[in-house]
Amino acid sequence: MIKVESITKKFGDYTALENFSLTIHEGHIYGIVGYNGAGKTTLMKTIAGIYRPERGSITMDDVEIYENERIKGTFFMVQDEPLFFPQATLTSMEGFYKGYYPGWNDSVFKKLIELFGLNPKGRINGFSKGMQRQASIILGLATMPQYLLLDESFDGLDLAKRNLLKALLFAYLKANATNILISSHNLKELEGICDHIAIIKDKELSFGDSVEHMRQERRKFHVILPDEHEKQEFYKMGFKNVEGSYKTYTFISKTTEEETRTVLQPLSPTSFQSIALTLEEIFLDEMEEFEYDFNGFFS
Amino acid sequence: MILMDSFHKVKYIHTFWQALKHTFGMAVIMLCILLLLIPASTSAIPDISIFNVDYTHNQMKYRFYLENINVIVNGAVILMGVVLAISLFRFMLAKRSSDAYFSLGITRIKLVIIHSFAGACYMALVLFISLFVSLLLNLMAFTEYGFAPYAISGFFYIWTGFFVLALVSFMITLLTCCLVGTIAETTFFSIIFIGSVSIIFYGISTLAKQLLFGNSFGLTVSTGGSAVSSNMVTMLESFNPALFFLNASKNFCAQYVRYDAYIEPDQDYRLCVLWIIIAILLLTGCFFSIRFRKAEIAGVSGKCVPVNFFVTFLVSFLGFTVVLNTVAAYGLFLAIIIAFLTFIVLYIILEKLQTRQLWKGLWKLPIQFGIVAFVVIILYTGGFGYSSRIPVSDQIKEVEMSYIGSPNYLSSDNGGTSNGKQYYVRSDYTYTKSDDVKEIIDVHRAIIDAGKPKLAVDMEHFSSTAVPYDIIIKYTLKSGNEITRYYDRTTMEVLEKMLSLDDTQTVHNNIQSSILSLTNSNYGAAGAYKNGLIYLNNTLYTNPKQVLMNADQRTKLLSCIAADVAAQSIEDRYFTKESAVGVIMFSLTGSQNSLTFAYNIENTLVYVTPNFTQTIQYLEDTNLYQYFQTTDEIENVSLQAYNPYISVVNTQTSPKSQYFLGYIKDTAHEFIQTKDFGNDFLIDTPERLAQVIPLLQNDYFMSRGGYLAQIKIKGKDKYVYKFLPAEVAPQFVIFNLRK
Repeated sequence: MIKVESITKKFGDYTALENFSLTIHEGHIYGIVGYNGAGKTTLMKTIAGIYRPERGSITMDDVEIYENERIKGTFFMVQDEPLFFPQATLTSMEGFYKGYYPGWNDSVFKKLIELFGLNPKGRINGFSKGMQRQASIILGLATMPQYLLLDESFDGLDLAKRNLLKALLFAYLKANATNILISSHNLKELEGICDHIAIIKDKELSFGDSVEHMRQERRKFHVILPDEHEKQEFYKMGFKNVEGSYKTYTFISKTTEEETRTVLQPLSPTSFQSIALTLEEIFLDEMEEFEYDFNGFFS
Repeated sequence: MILMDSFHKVKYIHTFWQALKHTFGMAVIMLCILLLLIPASTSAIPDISIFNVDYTHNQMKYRFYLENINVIVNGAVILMGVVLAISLFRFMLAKRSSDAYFSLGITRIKLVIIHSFAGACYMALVLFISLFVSLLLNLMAFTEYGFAPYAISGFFYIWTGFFVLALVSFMITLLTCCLVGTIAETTFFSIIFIGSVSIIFYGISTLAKQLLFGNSFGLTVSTGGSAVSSNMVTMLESFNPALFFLNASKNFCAQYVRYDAYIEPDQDYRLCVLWIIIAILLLTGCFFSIRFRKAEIAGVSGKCVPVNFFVTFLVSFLGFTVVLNTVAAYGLFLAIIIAFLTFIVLYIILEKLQTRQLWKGLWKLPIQFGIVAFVVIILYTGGFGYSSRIPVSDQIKEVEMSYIGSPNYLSSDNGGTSNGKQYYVRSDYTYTKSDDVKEIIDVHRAIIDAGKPKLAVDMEHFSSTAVPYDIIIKYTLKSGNEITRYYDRTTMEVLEKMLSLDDTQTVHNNIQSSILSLTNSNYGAAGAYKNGLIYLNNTLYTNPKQVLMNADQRTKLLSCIAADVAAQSIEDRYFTKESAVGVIMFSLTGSQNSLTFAYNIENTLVYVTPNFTQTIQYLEDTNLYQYFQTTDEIENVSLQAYNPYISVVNTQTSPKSQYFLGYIKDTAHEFIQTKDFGNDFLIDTPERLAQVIPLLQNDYFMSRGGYLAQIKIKGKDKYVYKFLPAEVAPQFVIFNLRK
């Protein structure tokens, strides 16, 4: 179990994370989400022992991770901007990483190369961005780490490779007692793969829980009303993210279905449906503070 | 656990191997450079190759590389340390590699240790190969002469010293790497840090030279070739990371069979041990720095405030001192102002380059400016008593001081210059007797009280006129310490006070020894008295006669001269009231110099005045006095007021002796000074000539002012130059030359 306890990370005068706490239990795939610049990569790098927090601590089984060889040898972080030496090939990078990871698996490495269809002797710097991303994922998985950290790793992958990666991660999790952390600003990528989500907002942990529990805590409803109503009426009732017009509306509510039905009764809905929330909708519900009005913005 | 321990060892070996692999190219480049500088330089140039017996003459024991590229070789070794460190640690200076390496399962400190070890291996190997190839070549060249043991011990010494030199540069660069964010910063800053000791001491020496009255560091006398005192950079070489092995490498890169009294220095490994300790301390500093280094500064400049502060200060300070030194010739205050402006400009440029946020870093400027201003003020106001310090007489074992009196009694081969008119001779005497030392202290006090006057003439009070001069005073205390002071100018009044040293026992004894040929020296005046040709001449220098004397006759003449000289007072010798009756010249060069110009270093003169009773008696007894007579008549006399700064173009900027010695020329206007414009004051009436001629002196110390006189010989194209002292000058002369 990794415990992130009240860490504060600053870059000069800028505070990226403040009093941030998070507990990562074993055997899960965690999604770290937030807006651009929220601190996702900062958090990942701090967990990986690259950054040292100004305050707080990050421990694994109550042992500090920073500068701990044994623990760090069980981590692999697939960086958003991965390192490849000049003129390096997958084979030469294998030579580099193999010496640092006791779990390195040659067979897995070869299988992954074949699976992704990359040339092991081709110059990685000549690969496309997506292929370089694939190369770094191959290297990461081949180290067979106990903790695999993926920073924006879906970015640049085509749809087929994204699905392939998702399947691989599930298979890896199933085969090994591991933990996977994935950071992304694109919730659609994490849909169906993460079972836990940590949302970073205003430098702190805004929400950190299982996806299942998140879905239990809020629901999306679709209603059809006999008359047209203003969205404000729904907001006054305590609902959020109200969409729709004329007589058909959708909104999010943190109350149960029964309670919501009761609240809506005065409006006499002709249709009332509960719809499963996507991660994106949960995220927006958690993060969105206001609605934008762009009328006249560019005039 | 055992398996993990084994894996750790494998991991460390893997790290070492990776470090070697990624730096191999750089190591090969450095090897090529050193192979060129070391074995190739010593063997590949046919004319000066160690294999050229005509060149080595069986005197060369060995030569690893050409001595005259010793500085370049040292520089290449330092460069090797810098580039290898950058190559091995550049991973922490770029975001991607920094993140990748710091995410690995190895601590930062172990990364540093292993990479440093890899660097040390390369440095040792590259130096070993370069020097070993040279050693083999030397053994091939010199074994038959039995010089092999010298070459082998020299090899180990040079190899050790260079390795330590490279290691220190490596560690300084590594420490810089740990503190800053970019390769550009690392390269520039580490070079500055390696040169920091030199910069600081060069700067202080330069400022002291310009500002500190009495400073002797790093100055050479105007005749060149002789340092008053080493500059601080040289004095403190042993504590300089760039220079500590420079001298030792110069001594041991080549060795020769010597036939003189030169004693070869020992191979001293203590300095190497000291610097290894310093390298270890630097490495310890690196451990501390790397542990707390923020990975996020990779690729970002200006993130280490103390380093930026130090580098900005050093570079700006260097610029300040260079400008001050360059512009000082045009005026000290102007130079200080321009130097401070240079400081500010350099500061702004460096700050902008490093941080791109000039306003944010401006707080450092007043601090740095203040440090320099403080140093300037301290030096200008006497350096905490440096300028005014004179040791107590009973602490003094001996003192060596510049001698500014007559060159006609010197016994050593002193440096000097002469141009057929004016001359300058550097000489010193060493004083040990307490009365003499007290006299020196008195003179020294007068020098200090006179301060550093502006080089200018004071025609109203000529004794206040300041002229350039080399005045060195070196005290050796009973404790063994030395105190040296140097003054590059003083007033005529002080120069005149320095003449009082002629009355010291030391100078008196030396003069007597010189005249009486009691010294072993065959140089200078002593040599001339001992072995020179003897000429007698009239005071117009128109009819020199060589006199041949046997040893006894010479001895007798010299003893008369010695007795008469011993009886002279300072006034008699330098401010004579009586004109000379004749001139005795002793010349090692003979020929033209003796006949035309009174002085060069290898001649000496005795101006025989009526006070020289014994000498005159001897010359009369031996019928030689007649050669002092002349029938030549004087047609006219032209006068110029003596003013060392009479000409703008030819103003006096280097020391000249103020003891005038007359001379004869074939052309007019050959005064010791060149007037820019205006005619000389011509005296051609019999009445005035009769007034002036008896007052003209062949030799006179010009500190009290006077007039340079050109005497035209009637019926001949001959011009004799003498001096008319101001004290006795007739009113009509003073009036006509009052401006």
